Amino acid sequence: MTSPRRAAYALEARKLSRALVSRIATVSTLVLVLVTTAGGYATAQYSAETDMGRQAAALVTAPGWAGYTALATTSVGITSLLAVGIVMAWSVGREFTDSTIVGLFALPAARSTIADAKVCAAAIWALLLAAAESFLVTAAGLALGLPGDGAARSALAVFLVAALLGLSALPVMWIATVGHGYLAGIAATLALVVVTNIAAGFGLGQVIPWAIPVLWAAPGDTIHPALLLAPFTVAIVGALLTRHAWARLELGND
Amino acid sequence: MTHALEVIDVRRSLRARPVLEGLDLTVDAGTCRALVGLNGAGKTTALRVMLGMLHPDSGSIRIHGQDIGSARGDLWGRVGHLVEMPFSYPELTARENIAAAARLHGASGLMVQESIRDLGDILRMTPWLDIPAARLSLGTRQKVGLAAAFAHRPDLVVLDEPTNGLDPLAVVGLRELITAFTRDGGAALVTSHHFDEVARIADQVDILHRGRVRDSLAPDGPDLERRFFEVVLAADIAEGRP
Repeated sequence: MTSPRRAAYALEARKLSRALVSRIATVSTLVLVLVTTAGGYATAQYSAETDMGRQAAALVTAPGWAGYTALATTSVGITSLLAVGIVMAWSVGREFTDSTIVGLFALPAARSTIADAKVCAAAIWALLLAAAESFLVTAAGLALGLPGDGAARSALAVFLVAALLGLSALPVMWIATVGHGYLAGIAATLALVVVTNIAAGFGLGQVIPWAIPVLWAAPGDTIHPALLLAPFTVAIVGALLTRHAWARLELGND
Repeated sequence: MTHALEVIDVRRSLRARPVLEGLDLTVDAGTCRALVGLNGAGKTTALRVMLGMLHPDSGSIRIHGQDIGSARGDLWGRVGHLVEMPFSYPELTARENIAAAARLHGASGLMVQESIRDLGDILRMTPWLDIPAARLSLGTRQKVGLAAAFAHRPDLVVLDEPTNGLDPLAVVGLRELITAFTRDGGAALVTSHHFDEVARIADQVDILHRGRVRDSLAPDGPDLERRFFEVVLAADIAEGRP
């Protein structure tokens, strides 16, 4: 006999890897991060006399890898949260929107196990996406003439920011469950991105878990590294809430 | 004798409106039972309660003598179902969908492959097994859902409108499948709006009306449709409802 638990994890991994939404999210995230980071840095460095160059230079607030990393993490911060949030909302919400949820009842695998499998598949994808973003951005930095010294530190910072922000989108899986569809989760993702950026703009970023990683990576930051536990805690809480909501799920009672 | 499925005095309200009002129903091994009723009679809610998708306000559901509220998850490995929507994810092929459903029920790899081959033949869907479900017709997706309900070789199946979208040849295949399933000791509960189809598949027809089974008819008697309406009308008159 096959373990139903293993089957649930395999099914969720296969669904996510085959889905058009996760493929589009992967490609568009990588392209956007690369274009905004490498393109922005190159424009600031090599076309500083143009209007666009002056705009880009205003975003590169420190020389060398420090400025490049800050630009990269700003781009990664928005795209990771948005892309991963949308995919996580879809992963859960599509079961309700497409009515495939009925096939996930009356199984030896508990629904909490299926929720865990969804969280696990989405989290691993988010970490792989973070690694790919980190690799691409760092390789582009080296190609633009930045020195080898400092590249590893920059790669690690970009990975950490992308990974933490991707994982911190996990509460949208719970919202998609409670809202019985992906629109609720996608709306929550958009709200997170907007509120985080507005709060950071007003100088309140250090109390917003989704703003902390980008602020930590900024040159001359005043964010204590321990605060990076905040987005990680949000991720754990999101995973547990999703599990709990799936374990108590009923159909037709809304 | 232990029934394959036993629904005992189940009551369930939704949004403060009683939907199931003392539902009693049994399905025994080696039989196919049909549940028929008008729209809003409570069929969908009844199936959801039987499959653990909704908890009853009172009463109990037993599968092979075990209360589903307290039974181990393994019990569901003996149950197959197609309710509301077929198990059919568009990004997976028909074969992958069926195999995934079987493995979620605990079936092993070799058995799954054998089942898919056999069910593909019976339901006339072999040419479409390796095509993504997104490109399949409604009827073929229904066949995928039926195969997913049977692939792990359950001994109880619950099928909601199983002939939805099926062509006449596939309907014959489904009838053969259910006949062979019950002949081998399986228990089946099907819902349908088609009386001629019910008469060919089921051993007994239960009439669900206003949340309760009002009568149980033999499918081979005269004019099943007329007897159905007589039972419904008698129930309404007895309760003083229009």
